[in-house]
Amino acid sequence: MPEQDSELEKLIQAVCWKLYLEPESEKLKSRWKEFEKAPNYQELIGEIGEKLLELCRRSLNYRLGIGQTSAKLEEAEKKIHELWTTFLESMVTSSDIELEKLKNSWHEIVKNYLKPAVCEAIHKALSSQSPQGPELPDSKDSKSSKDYEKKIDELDKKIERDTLPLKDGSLDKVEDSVPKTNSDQSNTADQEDKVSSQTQQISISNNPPIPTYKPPEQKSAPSQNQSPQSPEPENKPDPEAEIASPPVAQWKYIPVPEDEPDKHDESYCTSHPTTDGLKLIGARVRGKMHKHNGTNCDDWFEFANSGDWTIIAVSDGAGSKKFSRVGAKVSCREAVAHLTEKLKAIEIKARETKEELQAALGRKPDWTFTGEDIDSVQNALHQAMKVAYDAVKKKAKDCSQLVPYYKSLENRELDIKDLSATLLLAVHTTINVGETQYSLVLTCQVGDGMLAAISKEGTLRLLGKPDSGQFAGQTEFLTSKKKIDRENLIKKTFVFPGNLKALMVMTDGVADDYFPNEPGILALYGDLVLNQVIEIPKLNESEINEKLRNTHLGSLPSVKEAKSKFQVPEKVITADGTKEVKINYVDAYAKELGVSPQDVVASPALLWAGADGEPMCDECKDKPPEEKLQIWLDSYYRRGSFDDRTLVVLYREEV
Amino acid sequence: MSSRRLPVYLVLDCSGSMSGEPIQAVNQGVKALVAELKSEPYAIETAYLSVITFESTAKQISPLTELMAFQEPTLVAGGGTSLGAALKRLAQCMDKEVQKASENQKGDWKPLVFLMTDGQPTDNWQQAATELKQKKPANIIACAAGDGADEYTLKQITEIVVKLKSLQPDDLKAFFKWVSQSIKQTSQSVAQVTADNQPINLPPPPNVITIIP
Repeated sequence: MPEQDSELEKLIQAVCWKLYLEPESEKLKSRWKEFEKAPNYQELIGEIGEKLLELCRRSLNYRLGIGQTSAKLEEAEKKIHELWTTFLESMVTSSDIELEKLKNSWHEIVKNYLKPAVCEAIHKALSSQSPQGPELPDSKDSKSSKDYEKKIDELDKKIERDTLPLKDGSLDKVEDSVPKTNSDQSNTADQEDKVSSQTQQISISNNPPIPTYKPPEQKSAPSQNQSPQSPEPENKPDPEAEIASPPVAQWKYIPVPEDEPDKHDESYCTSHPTTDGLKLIGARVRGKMHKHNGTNCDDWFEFANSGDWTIIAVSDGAGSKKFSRVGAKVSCREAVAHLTEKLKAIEIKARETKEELQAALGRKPDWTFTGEDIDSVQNALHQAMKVAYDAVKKKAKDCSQLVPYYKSLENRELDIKDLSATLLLAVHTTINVGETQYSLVLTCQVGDGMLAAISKEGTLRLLGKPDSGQFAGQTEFLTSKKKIDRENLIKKTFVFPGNLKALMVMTDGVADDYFPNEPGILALYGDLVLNQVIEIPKLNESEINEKLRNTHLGSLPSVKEAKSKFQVPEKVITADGTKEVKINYVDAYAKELGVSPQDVVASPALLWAGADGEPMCDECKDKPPEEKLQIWLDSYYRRGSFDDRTLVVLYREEV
Repeated sequence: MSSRRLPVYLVLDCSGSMSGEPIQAVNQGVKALVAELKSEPYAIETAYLSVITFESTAKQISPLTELMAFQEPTLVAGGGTSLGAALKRLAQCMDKEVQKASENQKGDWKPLVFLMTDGQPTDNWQQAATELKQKKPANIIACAAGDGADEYTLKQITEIVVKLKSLQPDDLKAFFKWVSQSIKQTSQSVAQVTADNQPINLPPPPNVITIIP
């Protein structure tokens, strides 16, 4: 179809113009601008970027001697790599005369090798007519090196796409798909993962001047290929392999077992009134893995008020231990009860100046705090850990003789290790310093999970240091007696003095999803605001538009238009079947704006613009914050994240 | 933000004695293993596979690849049994490919290694074996397949050694099925927090596999 080909040609030219491979031209400039406005621009440009990256990589690999393709690399790539090497060399060594000579050779390389190779790469990215075999321009490669490169490419794609919870094209996919009765969260995961075994449909339709890109289709769905264009397999599977479609891998929902002792509710949320204009909410949900296997949620949390103090405890039972949830519950309850009692008698004295407070918060060589009142809080926290340990030990003893536990463990007596759990404690009060009032938070932790505070000024302070082993999933527990010795606990005790915007305490089911926690937890706060769990006051519209003008989206209406790029209708498996919940992701929102997630969180205007719009679900309009927190915890997606999730937030509503 | 992966290495003997039916059965076994894993949603999200073969030399013929992108290699048999080279190659690959936890990076789950051999090693393997046993960079399950293999040799590499009755296609099929069950079980339990150095829990083996105490 020559008409379409010339459209394609024109587009390639426009991209080359953007890459400085074509001379300056108003015509090309405007064609490029047109392209930028296309609805599928992001996807297409992503494809182009990847193909160009492959080109670069092959050239550099040649230099570095990576891969078996070095001997068989095309002339073009060898020449292109010279641009890099000779340019750098010339910067260091050459005389003016040599530079002149080099300039000519570079010009030649750009004209005869680089530009054609780039055009070919762009062409490949945009067109569908050329059947695409295993991705390499050099078909003379041996099979294994082809496979190897393909794997590297796919790994790169994975890593690229993994940085976003959204999968390119998956949004359109979910909207357009043939209605499936059992679609679930694995679909969005599968989208990303099935790159190699899937059909990618890239079609050039007759009307729009820009080729349209159809997202990858799921192999498992039945009537996908009803569209008139015939699918071109982008990555041909090994002809000897069976192309039978595997059974659809779905996440199951099996309710919590009825016949085991200590059945815990699948999920729970609550809130507590507090003083000083702060709100306290908490929620925990059973993770996908436990739902799939029909086992209990192992997380627990408790909170309480005691005079001016707010007390929070969060615990995560060891997955491999059958009754760890019992340990989690007992340790939270006992720790909170102990702190409630002890803190009644501890009053934090007012300080005259900030320097005085600073001094009181200083620690002596043996880690005691200079301020006695503050040190007594540290002691109370450490005692609470011991109290929790003793309570868990007692519970193990009490239950060891009970038949239901004995039977559950296949005729073995319950031991304290069967109740292994982590424990995170945080206490909050206010302190007067001169005329001002600040928040004061002290924390202590055994095991993994995280505690963190965000100040009104927007700074993040991590208030925890998780125990972790060499590999993922290894940590210590409250039931390892040495962990609660003072010498270990003092290193896990932290303090925050300041204007508190939000204090968050969470199990690793959430902490891991915002890793590295510095600055990841800022994004957690961002997600809570974007999904209307934490509400922020509306600003003046002109203020918001002012701020948006400096971003890629430019204005409130553009944000609304781009909503589908950062809001995903996640499928959530619940007791009542699969529900659809619209989740906003701050990472994707930030990407649309062309700023970092931290920038978004630092700007009330940007936050508000992203949060504005439909809530997660229709019922959410009338739900209190703790219920929305629970819904959000149950619904947001992260690859590989199927642990129980617990989050407690103490926050101020105004920003 | 990358997600945590469960790296799985299959280290397979492709020496001359494996040629014919045995190596065909191994090829089928690997295919079946991959297909089974693809039916489990948590395996799809976490399992990454690699295949290392050894005969006169050792090669990583499939680098660590995500399950859905993994293409089963076609194994051919012939040559000696360079177990030492295989262990060295395994250590090298794990060093390069397995992500350790750091400030900015979530570490991978502790890798799973399934090593299968049908005969006596023909190279110097002791040092590599001792190093692996000491360092414990992974949970290694070694399988002595058939009469020609020596389970006590394998005990020098790892505590977890099993004996496969023979190299008959049915027995090899049963072995790979057990391997895929083990991977499934591990990929489920990794998502749960465990204490350091917890021994891994493997599913009960079929009767053609004996666990060597």
